[in-house]
Amino acid sequence: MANPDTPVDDTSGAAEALNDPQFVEDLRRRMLRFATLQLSDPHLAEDAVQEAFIGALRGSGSFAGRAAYRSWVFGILRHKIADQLRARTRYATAPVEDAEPDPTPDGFFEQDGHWTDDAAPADWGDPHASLREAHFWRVFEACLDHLPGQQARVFMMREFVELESPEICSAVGISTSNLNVSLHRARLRLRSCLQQHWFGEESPRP
Amino acid sequence: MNCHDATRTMSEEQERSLTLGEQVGLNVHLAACPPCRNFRRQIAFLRESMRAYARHPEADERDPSQ
Repeated sequence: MANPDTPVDDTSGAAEALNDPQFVEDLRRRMLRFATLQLSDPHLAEDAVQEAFIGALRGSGSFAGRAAYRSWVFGILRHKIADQLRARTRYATAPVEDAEPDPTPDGFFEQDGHWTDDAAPADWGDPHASLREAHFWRVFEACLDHLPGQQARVFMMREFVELESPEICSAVGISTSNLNVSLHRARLRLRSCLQQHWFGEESPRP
Repeated sequence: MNCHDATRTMSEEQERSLTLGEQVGLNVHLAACPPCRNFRRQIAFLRESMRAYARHPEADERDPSQ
């Protein structure tokens, strides 16, 4: 990753990225999946992704490469989705119950509510070094992709789009207690997935 | 409070301020339960990771050999 303060050939990064159909298609597919999950409307999602690509063109000239381009265009999409979801909260009526109940994660707790031996959270030490490792992010994305639909949707709204809980409740039409159940389950699953596929691995982590 | 209740309370702690009763119940449980103490650190780390991911998704394209 280039230091933003060092002179870089600005335009070549975006041009190079946009000239690689595979890169553009992978990015578009990932954005579309995220937008569809968040907005629950394939047409609005298409539009939002399209607009994000167009918005990114206006900012071209400031990319240090594909990575920066990807970050930029995804950031625009994130803001568009936040705006759309917030706009929905203004028209939302009383919360309705979840159409799709979240499955309870199996095997995390014994009957008496204590951790099962396999599920008990281990000590991760200082996990922050992982944030700089490319492979960590691939595992992280894969774990996010494995969350059930409703859990993934509200968890991403909360932690990625960064809406507040009341905004999510009215945008999705669920009660606070439903939201809390989904977030609790998403957190249980996600940390379990990371322990299984990253922090519990044998290879030494810094 | 058992571990299931404690994890639910810690998850809600990310969303709102806990009541005094909840804080006391949780702290008593945590004092005796290392796995739940790990859970609390880990969900805070999840939040940090998600925000880092939102801002710098380029991390996944770096050359791992570097």
